Amino acid sequence: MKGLLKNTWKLLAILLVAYACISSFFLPMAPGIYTVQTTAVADSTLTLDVEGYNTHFTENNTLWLQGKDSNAVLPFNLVVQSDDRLSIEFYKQDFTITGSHNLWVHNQIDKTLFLPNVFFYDGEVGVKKAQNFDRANYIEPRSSFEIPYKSILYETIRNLNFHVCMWFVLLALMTLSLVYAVKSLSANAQEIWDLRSVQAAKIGVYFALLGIISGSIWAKYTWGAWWVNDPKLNGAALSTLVYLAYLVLRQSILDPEKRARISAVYNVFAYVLMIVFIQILPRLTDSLHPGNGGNPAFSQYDLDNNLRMIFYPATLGWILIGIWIWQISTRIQEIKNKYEKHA
Amino acid sequence: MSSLRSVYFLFLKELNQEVKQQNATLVILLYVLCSVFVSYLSFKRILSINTWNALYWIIVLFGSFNATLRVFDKESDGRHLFLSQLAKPIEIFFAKSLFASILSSLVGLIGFATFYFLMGLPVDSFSITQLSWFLLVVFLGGFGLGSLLVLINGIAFKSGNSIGMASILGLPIAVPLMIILIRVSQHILANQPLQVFSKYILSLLTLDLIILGLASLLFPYLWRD
Repeated sequence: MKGLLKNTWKLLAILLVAYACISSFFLPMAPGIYTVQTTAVADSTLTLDVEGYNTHFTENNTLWLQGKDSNAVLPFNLVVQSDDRLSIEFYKQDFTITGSHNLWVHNQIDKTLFLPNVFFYDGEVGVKKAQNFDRANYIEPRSSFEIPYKSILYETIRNLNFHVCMWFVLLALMTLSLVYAVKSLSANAQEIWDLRSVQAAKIGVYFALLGIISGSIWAKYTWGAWWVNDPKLNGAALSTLVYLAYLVLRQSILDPEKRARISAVYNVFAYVLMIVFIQILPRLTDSLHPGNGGNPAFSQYDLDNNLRMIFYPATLGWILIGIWIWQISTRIQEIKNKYEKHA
Repeated sequence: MSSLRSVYFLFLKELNQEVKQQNATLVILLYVLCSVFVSYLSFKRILSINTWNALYWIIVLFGSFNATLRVFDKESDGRHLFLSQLAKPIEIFFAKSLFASILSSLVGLIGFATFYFLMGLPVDSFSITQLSWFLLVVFLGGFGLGSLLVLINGIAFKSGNSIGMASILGLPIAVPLMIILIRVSQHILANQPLQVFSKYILSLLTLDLIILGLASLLFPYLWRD
């Protein structure tokens, strides 16, 4: 019973990570508008083709285009080809401004779908007049638990629950490593603290590699390249190099007491500069990552409540898993050291 | 006060040794002259600010690594034990880092002078204000690199095999400093107004102080045996 209580957090870790994996792999994605293309422009009409993802266009749809401070432009003809394809025709005289227009689609199953800047109108404009169309009737949020649909990211948004968590685990493990390095500088039982510190750094490097791999795959599908010149990526790569240098430094010192002291000094120095690498420097310059250099963070518009309910437990779960791995590897190393002493 | 005095005398000792042996000075002169001359032979004249800047800072970075490589070598064969009895580790650190900062700044200055002499500048007009800002950045960079390299060389010296180890440990750690240095000098060469690059100057100063503070905090642990 006592052991069960003591190990509750491990159970929690397994449950949280299992919950995160299952929900981020198997939850359906919300419907959304994939693309809108202008297919035909006549003298007085124009035709747009709308392509949806997971949508139900065979339902009774209400669609309209709207620009900044303009009337809602309702189509006069709507041809539904399939659940995710329809084409719509507009009269040019209905447009009241020139410029960019956004598209809204509403039906009973999908609720309100929205895609900004789908169409740029540059023809003759009509007079703005009162309409008996109230758009407020057709704006409804979805209420089911699902993965949010975001353009550019699409299905890859599920990677958020893996890629970002890896960096949180790295940060947690490196902080552990720092704490034990400081302890080994100040305390007497140096070798125990030193062992914990180096194991945390080792496990952290593995998580950094996982973070780089998962981020690289994500970058390929959203930014178009395996590696882009982004301050956060460079910072991550360099901090991995710093910790590899730390491991190399340890290899070259034979005396364990001296090794503990010298590598602890380097560890503290490396940790602070790593924080500068990945937390402060990217904020000074433009970055493709959310939350840096004018890019809005996930929390502002991307991370909706559904995703948060997976992401936060996932982060906690992965951190606990990381700590668990660190504990086991520390124990294994302790036993190995004991055997070496006796042999 | 006595602490300051011993820092001063330790620094004088470093200078005296340098004057006698001219180890670092020769290294700096040879290294900087050779590398700038090689790049002159391949480039003749550099017109792009980015290329000029990258080349200059790479030469300064590796030049300071080479110049400060032997900062602790004078203390080998037990002489550092004698030194430890005479002075506190923190005093030794400040004297060494002052010396290394001067060496690194010297690398920057000589590098700039030879660049100017052989290849000219990538821009047509270079005002006195620009020059003074650039020199300030060179000094701030030399200051940061110097204190960083003293700790790194100390670690390498204590770990026994100092030659390769200093670059393995130091190069990745010097990168955030180099990023800021490259960016700020780009702005200065392009003759941007102060408000554009003032945040980089401030972060350069902050990073210098972080490095100095952290290194002076950690050095005593490294030094005791």
